[in-house]
Amino acid sequence: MDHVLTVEPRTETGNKVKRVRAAGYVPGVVYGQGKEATPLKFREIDLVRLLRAGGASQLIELRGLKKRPVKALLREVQRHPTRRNILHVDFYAVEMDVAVRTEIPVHFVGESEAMKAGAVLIHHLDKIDIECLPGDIPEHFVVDLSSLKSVDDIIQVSDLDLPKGVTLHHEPEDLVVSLTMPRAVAAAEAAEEAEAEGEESEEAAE
Amino acid sequence: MLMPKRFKYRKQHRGRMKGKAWRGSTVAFGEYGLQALEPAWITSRQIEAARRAIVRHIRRGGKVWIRIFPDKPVTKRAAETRMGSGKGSVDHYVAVVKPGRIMFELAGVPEEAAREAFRLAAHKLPIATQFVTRTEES
Repeated sequence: MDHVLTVEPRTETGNKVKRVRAAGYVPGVVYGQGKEATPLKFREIDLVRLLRAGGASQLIELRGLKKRPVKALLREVQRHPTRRNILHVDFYAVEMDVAVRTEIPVHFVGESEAMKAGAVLIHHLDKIDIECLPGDIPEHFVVDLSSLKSVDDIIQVSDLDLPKGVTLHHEPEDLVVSLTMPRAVAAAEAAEEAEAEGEESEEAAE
Repeated sequence: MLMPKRFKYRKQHRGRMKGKAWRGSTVAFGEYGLQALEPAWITSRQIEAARRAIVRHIRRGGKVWIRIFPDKPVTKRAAETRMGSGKGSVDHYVAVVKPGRIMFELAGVPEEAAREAFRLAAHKLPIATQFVTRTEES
């Protein structure tokens, strides 16, 4: 399902963009291959709702710019470093028959046995860089953490279920997640092992 | 304490701390972060004190990342010396931090424990800070 964003054309550029933000709008731009860049503006709450609904990596219908809605992908969201409000957004207008490159989020499901034992999950990739036709863009990739039985287990890009027509822009051996044992837990385990070995050797000596 | 292993030039100019940290302002490695809200020079002692405060609180479990490195030498003139005869000798090292910079990150602990660890760590730092999470970033 396409996400819809109502936008308005923007005439203010350069320093005057501050006035757009002061009026409660977010400035943005839409551009595409062979298309002229068009400045636009929209209400911030509309984009926040769209992002919450998972529209960051999905096709968005921009309405209000031309007679026909423009199909676009979110290319970049600029945020303020401390306030985290949205400052500017880039949209990339797509042709439905031309492949595009985009990033798809990874959703983690399940519980790992190693994590229950104290291991910490290290996220190497939160988003997967893919190329496909705009109509084939998957919503997200699902990674099952229950396959991580020990600390040495890893999940690589090659372990992901790839939908038809989607090509990856990663090396197959690129890590998605790995596990690490915190130093305190690792030290405690080493001490326990040493104790157990000590007891075994004592028993053998007896 | 953190300090450079080797350097190309022993002494540096002081410089200015204008603007915001547009880079290094999102949680990249862990789940939670401690973000600077003011510009400052953070000394290697302050970084170490904050790190210890975090590690002591989380005890078992959790992984800590330090996202700043004190690579700037600060010089100091010897006590009771007259002005002149060149720049003083290197006294300590600092990390230049601008508002928005994520200084520490934490993973593998509940949010409450991370908040408390970062609250304790913030008391070791000379600037105002805020707690940020990875989920806020998207």
